[in-house]
Amino acid sequence: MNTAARTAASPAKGGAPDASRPLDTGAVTKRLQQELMSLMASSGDGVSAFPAGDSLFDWVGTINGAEGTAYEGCTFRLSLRFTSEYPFKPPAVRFETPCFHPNVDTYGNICLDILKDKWSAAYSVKTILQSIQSLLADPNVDSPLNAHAAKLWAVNDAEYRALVQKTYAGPRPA
Amino acid sequence: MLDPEDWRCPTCLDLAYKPAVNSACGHVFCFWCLHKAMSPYAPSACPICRAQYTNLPAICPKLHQFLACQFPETYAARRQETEEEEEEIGAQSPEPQASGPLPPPAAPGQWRPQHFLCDSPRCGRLLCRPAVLICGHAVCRDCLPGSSGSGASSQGTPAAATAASSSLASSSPGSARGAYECPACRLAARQPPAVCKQLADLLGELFAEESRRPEAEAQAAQEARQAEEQAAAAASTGTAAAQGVNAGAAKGHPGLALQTPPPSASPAGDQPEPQEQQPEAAPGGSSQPGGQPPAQAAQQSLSPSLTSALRRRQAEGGAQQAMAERLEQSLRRMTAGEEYVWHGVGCDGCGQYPIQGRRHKCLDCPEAIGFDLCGACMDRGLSDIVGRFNQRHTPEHRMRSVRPRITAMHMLKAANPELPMEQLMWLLEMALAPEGEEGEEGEEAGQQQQQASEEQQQQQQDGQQQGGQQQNDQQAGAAGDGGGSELLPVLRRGPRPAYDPAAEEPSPAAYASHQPQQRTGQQGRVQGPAGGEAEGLIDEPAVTEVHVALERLLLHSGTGSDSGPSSGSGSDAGGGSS
Ligand SMILES: [Zn+2]
Ligand SMILES: [Zn+2]
Ligand SMILES: [Zn+2]
Ligand SMILES: [Zn+2]
Ligand SMILES: [Zn+2]
Ligand SMILES: [Zn+2]
Repeated sequence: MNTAARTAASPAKGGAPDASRPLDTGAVTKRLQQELMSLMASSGDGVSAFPAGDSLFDWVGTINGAEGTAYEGCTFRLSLRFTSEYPFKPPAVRFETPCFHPNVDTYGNICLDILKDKWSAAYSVKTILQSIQSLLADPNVDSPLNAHAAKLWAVNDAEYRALVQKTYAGPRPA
Repeated sequence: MLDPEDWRCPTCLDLAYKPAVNSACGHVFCFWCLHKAMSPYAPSACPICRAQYTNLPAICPKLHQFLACQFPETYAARRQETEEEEEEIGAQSPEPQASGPLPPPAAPGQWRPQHFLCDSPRCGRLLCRPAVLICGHAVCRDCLPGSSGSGASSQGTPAAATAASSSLASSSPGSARGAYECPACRLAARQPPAVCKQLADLLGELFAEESRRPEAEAQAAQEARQAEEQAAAAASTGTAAAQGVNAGAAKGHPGLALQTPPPSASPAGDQPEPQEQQPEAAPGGSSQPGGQPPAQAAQQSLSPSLTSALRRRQAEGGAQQAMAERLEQSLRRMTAGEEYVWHGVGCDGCGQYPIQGRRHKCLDCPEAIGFDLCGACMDRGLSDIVGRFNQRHTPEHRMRSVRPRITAMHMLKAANPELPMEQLMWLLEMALAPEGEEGEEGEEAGQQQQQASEEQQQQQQDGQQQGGQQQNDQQAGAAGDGGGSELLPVLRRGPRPAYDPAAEEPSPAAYASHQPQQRTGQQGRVQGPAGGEAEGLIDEPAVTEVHVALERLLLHSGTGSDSGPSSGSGSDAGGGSS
């Protein structure tokens, strides 16, 4: 078996030049619907998610900062973009609400291994949001995207908290 | 276990269809889901438990029959869905073979032990602690012969390696290479098969009475064996002893004949021919015309242009020479004999994916997905088998050994030997993301690349200079390509259509006219050059790009960071000007 040849032979390869519509969305759509149903059935974990518009491939998630952390009282909005390869490839996830955190950059990009090379097809929207929620409380300062936040996290809790709140309240950089 | 919820596939979240069991851990998935979860570049990790697995297992006929009869409506709906998807993909999953002597029950729930018999011809009793093997056969864990491989499990987990080497001591030396041979079809696995807990639980529920007895017997036998082992193996470590028990317990299994010949009774390369579903083709015979010795093939695998590029660097002396030499060394190591990994190519005999070592390809199978065998399966003459994707291969078909060659992924690995494969995979996939979706995803990709190139530079330049610049880049987040991140931005633009393999040195000008190419492959595969045979996932043009990019990296490493941020992510900065 040669999976490169397999995809080369698939209709999408030689087919229509307009490839903007993802191939094989049936299975992905079904899985996302399943997730949506179970998310709606279980609420109150401080995370929630819902499709952003008509497309099931763009979702908006929210995370409440855990109590007792610098993020307590903050509700962060995140965007999740799925591809036709979901769940075998992770969605692109980023903060839409500004977030001051060692592993989040000014564009809202998140450095989290399960969103990259440690992704597993058994993860879900819910596990993603829960992982990010615990990342907020427990940053990985060894591989920071925001070096300033990483430094402050280690040495100055008060200033760290102040910057979290200031960033949260402040305007979103362009 | 009679609730459909218990048989939900963990990745599609629907009833598992044509169930395949990851024999490394016993978790159950749809055949297609388990395949899609595999890495084309390296051993895969179970989506549930991350157990490493190297083989795409065949569908398990017993579980298939169970699900089809127990949940007829849902299963029929799943069949229809899957067949539509297969139509779209252009490949098929095979129809599982008969699962045993008894026809399926007339109505859901009417299960009898005869529906779940051990496939080992020496046992034939109700499965006890069942393991589903990579061939799809289900056998009692204790009906498996002890592992007999020596070096064969080298790419397994440390635990697997320990198990193999430790039980080697208890079996006779000089045994066949393959370990964990299926007692029914003799297909050998490289990893120790695990008990399938889901199947075990089902049997416990269906046949509480019947399954209790053999389990108790097996338990007793195991304990007796354990005591014996502990007395005997004074030098063995704890794990080794524990693993040895499993191997030894086979002899104590109640269903076994008194004298079980050790698995090593048949010398290497002269094993009994596979039975039933795999009647033997003449090994060699028509199957291997003009096969090329693999060692020789490896020698040729560095293309002339690559070799000359390396030579040029080596002639320059100093740091560049050292780097080029190291790169060449790692490339030669990666392409040597049994080391070469066939990204995206799997064995239709044992399911190894990707194939490592020799690869034999059928010249006559008409299916687009092709038919390939690993060296071990070729040697065993596994020629008349249904491929993992239902290819209709016959013994008359001609097989030819394929010569390894360097792809972009091999280059990336050679340049970053210390980076784990999964990280490289991620990098390459980000790098090859379609250009149309610049913007948000592009930024994220850029960030990935930046991170990678930083690591690369740290490694390639021994931490020369640039420290400050990197820091700035990090703080700036994904603001375009940082200084010195040449390699991956070039890669990111994906394969270039225009490349003349005859030209010794690819011309940067050839890239300037590049049209962004939409990537539409189902799993993000990269299209090969038109008309060319897609051997690996990444084809010649991309390889050449990496080659050019590496050259530039080598070039700039001598002069530090004076290259500055290259002209932005969108532009065609593909040339290797210096
Ligand atoms: Zn599935
Ligand atoms: Zn598992
Ligand atoms: Zn048995
Ligand atoms: Zn078998
Ligand atoms: Zn094989
Ligand atoms: Zn064939």
